Amino acid sequence: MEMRSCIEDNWLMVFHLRGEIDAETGPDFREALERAREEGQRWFLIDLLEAEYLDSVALGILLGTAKETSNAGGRLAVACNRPNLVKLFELAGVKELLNVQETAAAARSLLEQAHQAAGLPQDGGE
Amino acid sequence: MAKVMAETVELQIPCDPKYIAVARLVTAGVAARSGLTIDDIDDLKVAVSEACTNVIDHAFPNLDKTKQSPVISLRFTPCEKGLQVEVEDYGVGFDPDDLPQLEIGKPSVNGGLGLYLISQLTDDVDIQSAPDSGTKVIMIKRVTE
Repeated sequence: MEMRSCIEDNWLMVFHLRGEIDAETGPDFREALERAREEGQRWFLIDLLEAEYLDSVALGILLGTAKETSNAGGRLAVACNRPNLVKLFELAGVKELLNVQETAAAARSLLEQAHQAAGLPQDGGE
Repeated sequence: MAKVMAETVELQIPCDPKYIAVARLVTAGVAARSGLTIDDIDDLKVAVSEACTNVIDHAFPNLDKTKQSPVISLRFTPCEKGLQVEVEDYGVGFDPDDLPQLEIGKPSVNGGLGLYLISQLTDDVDIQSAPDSGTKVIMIKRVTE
């Protein structure tokens, strides 16, 4: 698994993941998310467009983060369009809960709307 | 279980997360030679990974890595119209009646999701386990007609 992250427009933390997210690689992803939350991040876009494999380990990490960010007044959205991965979100019944969108733009748009609805500026700090 | 034919592939991996990807590679290789479609193979890779992850997470709760090196045994056997995969450990085992029931739509962050996915992604699954007797998960993926 390769992981990159950046903060866009001073409010949105974007994670790009490539390759396989499983019991071997999942812990690094979990730690990176936990560290970001400890630093105060609560708006996350998880870009899985280049992820090739995921399973219940990844679903558990995403669910845990979605719950924590939601409790903190933020939101998580996922960009994923590989049919075999989208199928897992659907089977687990978490596609809506994790705001799974087919493109990064759609996921970002969903987060921007939630961020705006929370009365927060779109291009600066909170 | 379905009638078994005589072309079994066996694999033993250390009970360690870094070898689950190896189990997936072998699963894909054997499944491709059993006539399963690419979609079927993707399903089976997840199911096998979930079974291995469950072994790593639950079979050896008090593992002392300096004294023990437990393994996971996988056995792939072509069967009528598909592939049977057995994932076996020699860990603590459990009473299958005690398995958590996952309610879909009310996802649980911990536990239950792996077995649920196995049941959804394969055509037949049988779990044989008893306290102190290890666990064997037997799953069958059939060729999509």
